[in-house]
This record gives sequence, C-alpha cells and structure tokens, in this order.
Amino acid sequence: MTDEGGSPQGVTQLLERWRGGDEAALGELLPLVEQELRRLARAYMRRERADHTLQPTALVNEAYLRMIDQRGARWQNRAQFFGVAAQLMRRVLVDHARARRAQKRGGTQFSVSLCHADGVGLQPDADLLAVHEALEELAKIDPQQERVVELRFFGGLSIEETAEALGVGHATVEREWKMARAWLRGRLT
Amino acid sequence: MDVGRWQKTKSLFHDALEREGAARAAFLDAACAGDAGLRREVEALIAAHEESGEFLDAPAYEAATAILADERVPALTEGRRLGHYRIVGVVGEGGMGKVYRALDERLGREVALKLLADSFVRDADRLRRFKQEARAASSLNHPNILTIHEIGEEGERNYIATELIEGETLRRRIARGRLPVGEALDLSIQVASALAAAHGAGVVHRDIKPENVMVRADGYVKVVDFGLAKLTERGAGARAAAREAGGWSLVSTSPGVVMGTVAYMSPEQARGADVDERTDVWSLGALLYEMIAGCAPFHGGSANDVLTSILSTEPAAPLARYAPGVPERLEEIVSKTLAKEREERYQSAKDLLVDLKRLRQKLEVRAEIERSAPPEPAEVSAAVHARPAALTDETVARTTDGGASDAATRPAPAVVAARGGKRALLVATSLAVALAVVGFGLYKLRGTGGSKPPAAAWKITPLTSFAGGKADPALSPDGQQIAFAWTGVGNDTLDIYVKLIGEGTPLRLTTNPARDMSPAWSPDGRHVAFIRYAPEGNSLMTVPSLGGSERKLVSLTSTGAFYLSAAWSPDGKEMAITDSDLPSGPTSIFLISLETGERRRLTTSLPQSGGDLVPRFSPDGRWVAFTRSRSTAVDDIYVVPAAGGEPRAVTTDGREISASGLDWTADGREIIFSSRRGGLFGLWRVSVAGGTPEPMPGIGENTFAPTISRRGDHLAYLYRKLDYNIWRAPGPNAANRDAPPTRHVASTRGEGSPRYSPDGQRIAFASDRSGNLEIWTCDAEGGSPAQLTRFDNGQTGSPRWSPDGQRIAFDARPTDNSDVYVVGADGGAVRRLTSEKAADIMPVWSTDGQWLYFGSDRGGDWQIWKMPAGGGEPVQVTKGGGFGTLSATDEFLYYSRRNALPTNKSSATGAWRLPLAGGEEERVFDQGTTGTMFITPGGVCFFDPAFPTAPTIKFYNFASRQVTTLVTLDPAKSGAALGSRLAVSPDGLWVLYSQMDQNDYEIMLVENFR
Repeated sequence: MTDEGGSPQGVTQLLERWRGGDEAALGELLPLVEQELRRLARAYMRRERADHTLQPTALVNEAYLRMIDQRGARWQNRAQFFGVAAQLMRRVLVDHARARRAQKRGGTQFSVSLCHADGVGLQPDADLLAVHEALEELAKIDPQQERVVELRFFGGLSIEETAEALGVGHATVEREWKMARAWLRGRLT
Repeated sequence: MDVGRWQKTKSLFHDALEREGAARAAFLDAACAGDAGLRREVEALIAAHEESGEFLDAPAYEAATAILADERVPALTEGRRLGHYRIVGVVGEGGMGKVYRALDERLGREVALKLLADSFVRDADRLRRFKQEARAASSLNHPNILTIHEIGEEGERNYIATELIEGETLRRRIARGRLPVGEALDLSIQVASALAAAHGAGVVHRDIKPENVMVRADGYVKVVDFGLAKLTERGAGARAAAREAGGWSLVSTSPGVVMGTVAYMSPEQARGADVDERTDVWSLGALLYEMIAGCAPFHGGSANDVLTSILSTEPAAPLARYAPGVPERLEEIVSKTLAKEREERYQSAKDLLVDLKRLRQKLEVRAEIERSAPPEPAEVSAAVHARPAALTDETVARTTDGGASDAATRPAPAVVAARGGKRALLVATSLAVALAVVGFGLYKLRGTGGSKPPAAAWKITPLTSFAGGKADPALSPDGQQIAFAWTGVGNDTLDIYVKLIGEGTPLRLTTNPARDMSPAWSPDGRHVAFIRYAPEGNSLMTVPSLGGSERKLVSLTSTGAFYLSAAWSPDGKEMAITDSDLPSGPTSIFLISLETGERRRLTTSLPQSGGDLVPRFSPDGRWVAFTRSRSTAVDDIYVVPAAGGEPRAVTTDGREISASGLDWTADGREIIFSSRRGGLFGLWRVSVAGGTPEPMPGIGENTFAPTISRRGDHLAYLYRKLDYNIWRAPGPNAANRDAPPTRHVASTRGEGSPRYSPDGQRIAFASDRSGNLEIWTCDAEGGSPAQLTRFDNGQTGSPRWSPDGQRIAFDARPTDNSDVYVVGADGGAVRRLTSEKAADIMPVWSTDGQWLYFGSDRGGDWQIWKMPAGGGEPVQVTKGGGFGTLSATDEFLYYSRRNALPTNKSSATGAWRLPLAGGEEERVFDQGTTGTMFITPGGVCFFDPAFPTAPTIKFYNFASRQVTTLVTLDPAKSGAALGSRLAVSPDGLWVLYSQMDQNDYEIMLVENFR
C-alpha cells in the first residue's frame, strides 16, 4: 500500500504555516488529513477482528506518523496535528448526524453515546448535534474551553495530550474541562 | 452571557468546588452578595458537575472512525439492491467487511453477499487471480468448501455471492469454550478434507483461521474465502508487512490490528517466503490446537512477539498442559502439523486427514467399549459422549434454520441422499439427531422445524441470457419449447421467436418490420398465433411453429399499442382475443371461431377504464380468465364462462395487475398472475374460487408474464431488471444547449417524477429505492436525499411544491384508491385530503397556496376539481373533461384530458387551459400526454416519443409557436411511465427527466413447478 495522503513534506509545511497564523493552510490541510484518515480507517476496519477494538488515538497517531516528515518535525507538530484531526472528526460526525437526521431512516447506524453509562435518554444523533451546537455557543464566550472539549470529545485526546496541543498546563485543561463539562451537562439535560 | 460575567462565574465555580458543604454556601453567600442570578448560575454548574459522572468521557471517536471507514462503501440497508440481489439483512461482520443475507431475485434463492473493500480490488491483476482461485476452489463442489455463486460488480462495488450458511464461525465456537476432543477432531477432519480437495486442484488457502471456518448448526463445516488471501497478501510477505507497519509503529500502538492473522501464520509465511499447501497444514494444526487448548499454539503480547514465537525453534506447549487426558496420538499429530520446518510436517492435507480419521475411529471404538462399562471420569470418553448432546441443544435453539434453501440449490451429489433423508426425518421427529455416513465422514443431521417452503424443490434457471428486449413468454403445451417476442440482439422491433428448453439458439418465426408480440400456441403445438402492431392497423396472425409463411386471422379494431393478446381454446376451435369497439376505446374480450370466423362478444369492459385484457382459457376450456381494469392501476382478475355469461371476480382488492400475462395451473384450481401489492410487480397465485392472493415464494420482484405448460411441471416468466434515474440537461433558457446530460438523481432502483421547489434549491421526486414508490426530496445537485412518505404499498407520485416551498402535495394509492395527500417539505405527518371512493390524482397548487386543483372521476367522468389546501369540500372546475393538472398561474389553470390507455394515441393529447376568472376552456398545445408535459411561463416542455426511433424532449414556445429540441434521448432508454416525466427548473436553465438506464429482460424457467 502506498501513501496517498499527500507528501509528508507538504503536510509538515502546512502545519508550520498554520502554526504561524496562516488560516488558509488549515483549509489545505483538512482534506489531506481527511483523505489519509479515511484510508487508514478503512484499512483498520478491514483488519479488525471481533475480539479487538481500535485504540482511540491509534488512527490519528498512525496518520501523523505517516504524514509528517519525522526528521524535521518538532514535537509541537504532533499536538497540532491532533488538533486538526479533532476538528476533522467533529465535522465528519456532525455532517453524518445531520444527514441522518434529514434522512430519518436508513443509512448506517452508528451509536454515539455521550457517556459509558446509560441514562442520557436522547437520541445519539440529537445528542451529538446538541453538543456541537452548544459548543458553537461556548466558542463565543470561551474559545479555549471549546477547544478543550473538541480535543477531548471529538479527538479522543487525554488531558495531557490536550494540554500539549493547546500549549497550556494540564491543570488548566483539567479546570476548563471540568467546567465545560458541567456547563454542557446543564445545557443538554 | 457576556465574557466578563462568564469569567466571574468560572472563577466562582472553581473556588466553590474547593469548598464543601457549609463552607461552600458561606463562600457563595459572600461572593455573590446581591446577585441572586449569578449565584443560581454557579450553583447550577456545581450541581451539573456533581452529577456529570462519565458525561462526555467516551469520545465520539470510534463512531467517527466507523464513519470514515464506511463512507466509500456505504453499508447496504435492507431492501437495497446490488445487481440482481436484494439485501434482506446482515449475516455478520467478516474480516473483509459486512456479510449480507440477500435474495437472488433472478433465481429466487437466498445467498450470502460479501462486499469487497475497494482497496482490495484496485489491482486488476490481483483481482483476476483471486477470481481464478476462488472459482477453482468453488468449482470442486466439495461439501466443506463454500460454494461461490458469483463474483460480480455493480457500479463501484465488487461483491461475492455465495451459498448462505446458517451457523457460526469457529472463532465464536471457540469463544464459548474449549471443544471436546471428539468435536475438535470432527471439525478438523472436515477442514482437512476441504484442504485436500483444494490442494488437489492447485489452490492453497493461505489464511486458514477460525474466522474462515463456518460451523453449521448441524455440525457441517464450510471453509470460506479460498483465494481471498491472494487479495490481501503483500508481495513481500506478512513479516515484511508487519515490519513495514512497525516502522510506523503500527504493531506497537495497536496490538489488535495485526494480531488476528499472525497467530495462524506458518513460519514460512511469517518470513515472507513462498507458501505451498504445507502452510495450510500448519494453520489447520494451529486451529486444532486452539480448539482443544483454548488458545493459539504461539502467542504473545504483540504481533511481533507472536511472530517471534512462531519463528523460534521452540515448539508449542503440549496440549496436555491445557487439556489433561488428551490422547497421546493427538499430541503427536498436532506436533507434526506444527513442525517449524516444512519438510518435517505432514506433506499434504491428505496425509493429515488419514491420521485424523484413524484417530477418531480409534476413539469411537474406545468410547463404544466404555459405554458398555460403568462410566469413568476419563476426559476423552466424556468428550465423545458429550457431542450429540451438545448438538441436540443447538438443534433446539435453532429450529428455524433456513438450510433448506441451500439444500435446494447446489448440494454436492454425495450429500443429496443424506439431505433427502433429513427431510424424511423431519417429518418423523423434528428434534432427532441422526447419524449418516456421507462421503468421507460423519455428519449429524437434524430437523429444521418443518418450515420448508413449497418452492424448495423448484429449480429456477434463466432460459435466455442474450441481450435485447424480450416479452410475452409462452410455454408450448408439451413444455419443451418457449415462444416469446424479442428484439434480437440488434434491438430491432419485436419479432416472434421459438426456442427449445435447454440448449439451442432461438428460431426466428417473423421478420416483419411491424412489432409482433403476444405469441399463443395452438393446442397441438404446430402453430403460434400472435398480435401484429402495424401502422396500418393491428391484426391477429398465425405462423407454423417450425417456421413458414404467416397468415392473417383477423384485423383488430383497437389501436392499442401493447397489451392486446390472444389465447387458443384447448379444443383448438376458437381463440379469445382482446379488441375494442372504437379504435381508442377500452378493450373487451371476444371469441373468434376459427372454423367460421364468427366473432362473439364475451365481456363488456367498464367505460373509461383500462379495459379487459389478457384472456386465458382454463385447462378444461370451460372458462376464460382475464384482468379487468377499474381505473389506472386498479385491476382485478375475473373469470367468465367460455359459453358466455356473467363474469365473476376472482380477486376483489383492486390492486394493480400486469397486463403482461397470466395463466392457470394445470389442475385449473389457481391462477398465477403478476401484480403489485406492496413493493414492485411480482408473481402471485390465487384460488379460482376466490380468496386472498399469495406471493409465489422465491420468485422475487420485477417478474411478469407467467406461463405454465399443459402438464404443469414448467412455469416460465419474464424477469425484468429495471433502473430509472433522473437526468439533467440544459433547459429552454440555457445559453449553451450542447452540454451533455448528466445523471443527476440516481440509485439502483427507480427515480422519476421530478419537481423543482419554487426557489430551485430542492427537487422532489418519486423513487422506489426503499422498496416501494415513495416521495423523496434531495438538493438541487441530487445530494442529501430524504424520504418523506412511507406508505410501503402502492404507487406514490406527482409531487408538487406549494408556492412557499413548505409543503408538497402528491397522489398515492396505499389501498385500492388513489387520493391526494400533503406532506411537509421537511417531512412530518402525511395528511390525506380526499377520501371519496374515486380516483383523485395529480394535484397542483393555486399561486396563493390556498387551493389544490386535481383530477378526479368522482363525478362519473374525469374532470378537474379544486378544494381548499387545508382540506374541505371539492368543487368541480372543468366541464369539458380534465385528467391531470399541469400548472396554475394567476390567470390560468393548465391541465390535460384523459387518455383511455396510457399507450393509446387519441385526440386527448395536448394541454388545455381554463381562465380562472371565468371563460372558455381552450387547447393551447396539441402534442404531449398527461405525464409528459411541463408548463413553463413561456411554453411547454414535452416528451416526444417519436416511437420507436427518435425520442426527444422538446420545447414549444407559446409566443413564437416554435418547437425546439432540448434533449435527444437514447431510444433504448426512453420508456413510458416513470421514464417520460419531466420538469424544468424555475429559472429555465435545466430540464430534469427520468431515463431508463437499465432495462434487461430474462425469461426464467421453473422446473418441478408442480
């Protein structure tokens, strides 16, 4: 299998440009990352066996390793890359949930549960879209909290990885996560 | 909330969380002094925090991965089609993707359908080799090798259709616990037998593992996916692949991914060396080991560890470590299959098979001896004894096994007798476990609960496979030949052909440029009568069935273009024909004496109906069955005494019945016909005495024109594969008309009746992609489809947007009555607006959205009526006749008048308009028929069939009276019905029309019908 997800060099540079404040670079980056993630996800799903489930961050990690030129990569790149992937995941999920909502029936059944325990009685798609919409609102008053939720919930990042991606201390991430979660919980139930 | 207040809330939230109970309350009292709102917010946040538990802890990530992975090969939902397969459900998740249960509509059997991921099939060469191997293995017809029916593709999807196995994978069997030695031996023997056969044909499996061994509930083993490993294997070998992946830390970051496959890999595979049949021997050894030990022989914490363990010289731990009391001989056999050096292994699966069988025999003898002695706690004997009991349990749990369907299709010869025994057994005692020696081994046969479909003995095969349109199959009285109308491969006009059942090319009986259809055999089989549709008039003709000169029997009055037919009476003295009194009137049934030429009326059709069609004599010649139309798509079957008399209804529910043909069963007790009663047209049977029609099992949808041999053992019918899609082409206002049309709204089933929303942003259309014709919408580019109605029965169509784009009116026939309905453009409740026992069709909105105009026969004849859009009493609008509404402007209502039959050319073509302020009705356009016109502000867009050679979509300009051609259609693809409905976008830049992209016919033969 060959790499089709864009040249590592190009992706690394795009990441650097984005870090430097070039928002257009993100626009170029997203489709490349998406393409690679789709390809890897398909490969994973194929190889997956009933008794093994996919590790949460393995996919993005592998995409990162494949797409970023490792020799010149700075450590921040990894966190940056995870940030891009989390945005992408959010978009994919929201698009999918919207399409499903429009379609009402049919389509592939994916259940996105917001917590391990049962008890959130809403429909998964409705839940997901509600989280997304509440986050958009949150972004207006507290963009950092929104990013924390995006990385944690949509990107599957740990507190430490989130701190790395945002360039803040992990105590900060923990505090922001705690409040954002409480706020969202209040909003959504 | 403003940012300042948010920050304040945030800091109070965190500070308060650091305090507990009274201290927290005191802190908040002080901090929020005088600001009750702030305090409420902080307290609400704290409360939410305390009950948030695991909220949001499960990332949405896995679902996202599934979506990412799934997008390119979207899951198939129930009712979807792939080739001639209809998805019925999901069987399970295989290594290569989802496996579906599907109905092969052509052959009427259930199959397992596996989609191949696109990355597997990108390499054409590799795909070709895979197909070769898979076919080679399947063609061995070995009872333990899964039979492949077809490796096909449809659009971007590549799929494998195989026999359907009711059972579980060996993986799941092992997951339930270690297997007793006897059962493990039995399963291994079957796998070894499959491998020995495959190796004999030069096919190495390469990927023997528990996932690839299916165990049927009756103990039968089926080895699946022969050749598939060819698709997935990388040139450099698995070890290299693992290394390559490991370079990207694939193995270390996600141990599960490669693990599944490496555990059964032979050392040579792990090294990336060439593999041969001894590799399969190794993998089977690993399988046998795991069945008994409960774990694979070589394991480790990661794929790399496993590979290292396989490649080391260290042998696997003895089985006795996991299963004390395992026979010494079994240890020897397993260790020989798992010899690291190929030369030291069993050199063939056959050798292994011999040893396994010997061992089993020995154990059985021992068990037999022990059975007559007092029980001992010996593991082996317990294992052997335990097996039938375990099977009996499974039998109880799975009494609805559908094994009968694969038994009916392609059993290996050796198994047929045993299966016949199984059925006999089933009658005697449904839970019995019988033993029978079949071929090479012992099989446990069991009852299936007695739900064998009557179609199980039927053998359904295509009689024709050549291209071109076919119609009207008619089996000869002796059942040995079939006459039919065919265009020939060159898509000429239809002529009459005769073909022997089985081999042989069709014999062409007619060559006239006119269309020849509806062949009917004389009782002695020497002549074939048929209808000739010629420009100078239709006629009933006859020709010798071996070829020869044709003769006109009688000229017909009817100018009907398709559905006329004739039938010979069993005594050969007269013929029943369809004809009308006036050229365009509905047809009735007449009898023609072949001796005197005398014509006698047998029925009088209902006025303004589709007529009486398809006369067929009962086998004893005393009755004539026919279809009687009440109105569009509302038909019933009747019988009338051939001597004359009052017709009697056989069906009374008024469902749509195909005029393609019907026939009597040989005993004269039932009538087989094609009808649409939920879903698409399919074959149904009804007792002549009356009663509820029942679907013919296993025949499938899109089937027409049943014909039965006199002996009753053969049934033939027409199977039609049809795919209509909505296409888009430049419209009357487009600057550049040269842009080629593009397929715009598509599925593997039908799309038609498009309508743009008033703002041009959305398209409403009718589609049967859900299994029944329903109303759907999509965006202007054909994306994001949404289903608005779910009648699940009857035709639904004619969607029309309200002027504000909020609602869609349409007509539907969920029961035997056509009514006008309204639904929100975004979905929601469907509301029926008319309830009269009359046909109410094709609604259109007034420009203020207050009224709906529609066509109705409620007054006794067809007129346009109107009613308040919210529902209410309709009032008649037209006086001089009206059928379908076309459009309403502020000044005029445009509409069409009725055609007696959709295919009849009559003076009713064209468009009329009525001044809404009062005034005379006037004809504004004289071409086009009801469903094929679209009124724009400047003119009429219409379908010009120019049958049969040059169909076009044209535009007639009201002002200039000029006609311009918008689209030139492929004559092979422009059908009637759905196919000609069209719509112009509000800006006039586009025209949408429905085109028949696929329309293949096969004549299918059912043997052993009776």
